[in-house]
Amino acid sequence: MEQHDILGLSADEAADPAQLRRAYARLLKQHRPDRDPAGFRRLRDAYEELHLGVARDYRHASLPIAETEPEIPSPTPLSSTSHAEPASRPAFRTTMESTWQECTDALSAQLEQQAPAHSVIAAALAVRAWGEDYSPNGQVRALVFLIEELGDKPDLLDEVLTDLDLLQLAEQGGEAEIAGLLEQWEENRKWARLRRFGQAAQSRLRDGYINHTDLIVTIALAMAMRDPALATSLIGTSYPELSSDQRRLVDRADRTIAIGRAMTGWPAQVRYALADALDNEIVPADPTVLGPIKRFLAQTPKDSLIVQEVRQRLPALSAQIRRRLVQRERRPEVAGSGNRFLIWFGIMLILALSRMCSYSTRDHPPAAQQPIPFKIHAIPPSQRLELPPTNPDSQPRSP
Amino acid sequence: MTVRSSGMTVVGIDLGTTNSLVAVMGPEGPETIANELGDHLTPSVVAIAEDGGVLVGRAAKDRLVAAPDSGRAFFKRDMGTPTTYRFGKRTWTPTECSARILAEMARIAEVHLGEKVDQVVVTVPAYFHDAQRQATMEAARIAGLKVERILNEPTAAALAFGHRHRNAEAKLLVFDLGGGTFDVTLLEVFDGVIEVKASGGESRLGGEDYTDALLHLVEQQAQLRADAPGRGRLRQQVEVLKRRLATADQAEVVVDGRSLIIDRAAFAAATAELTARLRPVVRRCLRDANFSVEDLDDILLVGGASRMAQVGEFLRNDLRRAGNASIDPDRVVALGAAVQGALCADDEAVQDLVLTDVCPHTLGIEIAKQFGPGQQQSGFFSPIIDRNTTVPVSRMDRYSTFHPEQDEIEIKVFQGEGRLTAENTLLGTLSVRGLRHRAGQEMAGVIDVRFTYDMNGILEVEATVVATGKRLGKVIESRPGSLSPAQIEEAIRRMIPLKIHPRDSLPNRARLERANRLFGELVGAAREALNARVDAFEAALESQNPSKIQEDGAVLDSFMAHFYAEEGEQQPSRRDDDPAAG
Repeated sequence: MEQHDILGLSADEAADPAQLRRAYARLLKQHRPDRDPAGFRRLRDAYEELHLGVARDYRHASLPIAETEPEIPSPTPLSSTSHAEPASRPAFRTTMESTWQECTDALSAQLEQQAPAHSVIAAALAVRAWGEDYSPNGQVRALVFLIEELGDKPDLLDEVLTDLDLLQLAEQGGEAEIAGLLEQWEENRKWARLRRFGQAAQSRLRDGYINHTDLIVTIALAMAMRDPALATSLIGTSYPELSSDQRRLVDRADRTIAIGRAMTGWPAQVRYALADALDNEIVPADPTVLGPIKRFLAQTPKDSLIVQEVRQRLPALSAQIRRRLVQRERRPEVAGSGNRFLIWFGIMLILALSRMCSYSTRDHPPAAQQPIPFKIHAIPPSQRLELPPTNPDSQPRSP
Repeated sequence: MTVRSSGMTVVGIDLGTTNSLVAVMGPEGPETIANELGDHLTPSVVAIAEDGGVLVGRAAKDRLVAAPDSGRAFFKRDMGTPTTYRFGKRTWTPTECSARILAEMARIAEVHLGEKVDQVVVTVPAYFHDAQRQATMEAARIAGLKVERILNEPTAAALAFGHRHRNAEAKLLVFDLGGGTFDVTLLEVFDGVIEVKASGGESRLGGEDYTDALLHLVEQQAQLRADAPGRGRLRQQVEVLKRRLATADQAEVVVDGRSLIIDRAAFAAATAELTARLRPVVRRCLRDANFSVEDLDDILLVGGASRMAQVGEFLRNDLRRAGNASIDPDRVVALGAAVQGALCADDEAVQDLVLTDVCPHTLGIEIAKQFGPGQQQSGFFSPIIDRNTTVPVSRMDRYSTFHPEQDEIEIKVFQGEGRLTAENTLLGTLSVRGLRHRAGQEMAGVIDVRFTYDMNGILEVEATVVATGKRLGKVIESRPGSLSPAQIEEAIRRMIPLKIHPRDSLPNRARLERANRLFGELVGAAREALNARVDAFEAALESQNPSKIQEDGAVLDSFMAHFYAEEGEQQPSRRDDDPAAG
């Protein structure tokens, strides 16, 4: 029986909110919540699903378990700028280059509209740093790029640079000096700013100004790599304010924080980039992610545990990506915006998995028997992406 | 479904922090019932008289002014907690105190209706949690009443409104600032359906807090130290002052013979912190209901404290409109409870009205999360029924064990909004065994947990082992602060009233207590004169001669009326047209 049948309507009639509500009101008098609880629940679930467009037991419905696909799917078409590079170069480097290209393209586009999104600029800087063997020179080049791009729009340049606390640095001269300062900036300013954003968002939330509580979660996600403890407390404070959908975001945030904890001692840039990637989506939403993963697989011994793991999970991953692509076609304005981050995610995934690889030979002691249930996030355990464990032996290195 | 005989009356009782009311569905719609003193509002106060008798209502309130330690007010705030009070040579639980008030309200209704009343609808703040609701139900049981429904106060207000405007189509915000609690409810009315969309509140914010702040302000300005006996009286004066400030820009209060002018701005400044706490509650509700401020058609004011100027200003600034007090904020809850009573009794008058309510808290279980092999952390809260879900409701979620060898899990049921279970309230536990992975089993170690929550806030937890289909169920009853059956028995025994001597009847009690209070305020000849009249009245009571009691009582009343007339608002009685029966 379809939901609209329960309401005594045809599918077309049920699509009309006014008719739907009238039918619900009429039937409600026959299935009063106090006299006929079961009948009421059925009616209510049907009504909510039609009225709000939410399947009621959505915890199961909204993140469907991927139908298993027999083979690793054939390569998905990639964007023209990506992966045209010689195969001999390490995969992540080439992807970084193409990401940089995308970033600068996006930045140029933004600049044309005279509306530079700061996040894009920050991303450009971060990516630049990456593209140059983690060297701060990349950041300087990003700065130069900014100056070149905005040379004929001094006001705008001023605004952007001031916003990035860069103008002062630019005036101080010497490239090496800028490089050093930029590194510091990357270390301190960006995250201090995020933290301030977080705190501001928190207080605005407390005052009830913010509707999009996911903002908090997002910020916490971004901060997670830097300061897991702060992220935990930030999420904790805002949790009571969250709606159910947002709470599912928090579940992701918990995971991110755990990654952050596990990665203590990793190079700062790696963590930042991963944070940025997680900031956008945890589940990769782009086919380009698959490319690096496959290339990685090709380079790694076939019998290693990590390869087996990834091979096992790839079908589910690609199914999810496809589903997202379908969704994205319905919302074209979102398309493309996350690509670069998602590519990073792919890289980080590889890094994470390779990290895991180094532990995979070690026997993990069986987990202590804990009488606590564990929540399945709609994806069955066999298809879950595992994240690297903390190496109990390694002391955290400072980045 | 129960078939009910018509003609049975279910009364609605608004068990308030400060005052209680009882209402019933009449031919003209719901109406509140006045007590023997002609008041619709009966103070929620219990006290022990000098002779050891139990006083409730006006009499008890007056008694407390003379002897603050002889009784208790505001016990509603402690409902569902293990708090006890000590007065009249024994300890009292908040539940017992509430039982006294409920019994009194039922008695007032009985006098008015001329029939036995034992079925009631009792209202509670929407933000009361299960333990507090349970305590309220226990109070009714002790008072010998059957609770047909525990109704949220803002919902009751909405019912009163919905009953009056049943053809309206509107989105409403019910702003309920009572004596001790603050509740916000958002609802939608259409086609005779009153649908609560979201409710929220703060259980420790109300008019009494404003009175306290004003009292503090007055004491500061008068450079007074807080001493117990004088303070009780001053607080009453401040209460009057607060009400005046709702309409006047400034008002006068006399402290120790000195006149003190308090202006509204100073009052507003002294209570800015309290007022600031209103906003997040309202915002969260709007968010939960997915309403914007522009969507709202009207704001219904409930609770006496919502009349305060600060509240009006808050509403104008924040919600950009004034509140609607077309139904008396003091009485609207009781009126709504009477409508619900009629619904419970299948009254013809309300056949076309349906109310759907929401659960105010999130319910879920404790889980651990796994972040990587061997990396797990427990103590997380996994919501199953989100707050503001329309009830009755049944929801299921799926969980699994961590380790193939793990055979048992303990499902800990929590209520609250914290991300970690440590911040939430534990309601009960349920153990599930037989989860160890076995060869050939699909979905080994996986359980489905279903929560079913009914209209009275009773939660049923059911766990199903997916691999074997084994089911385990439990009704969650363990509530912190509730009484054991033996304690309830004992409380019922204590309630059994002694034969009522004329001096114990409510009007006579109230009259004597008022006289006692006045005695403390008068000096010299006036006090002597009062004393003589009280003596005469007490003698009449002892004689148990009705005509003499009435005669001397009238003499005493007219004498006292002379003094009380000066105080004006100190007697918030509502002597309107309603026939004050009895």
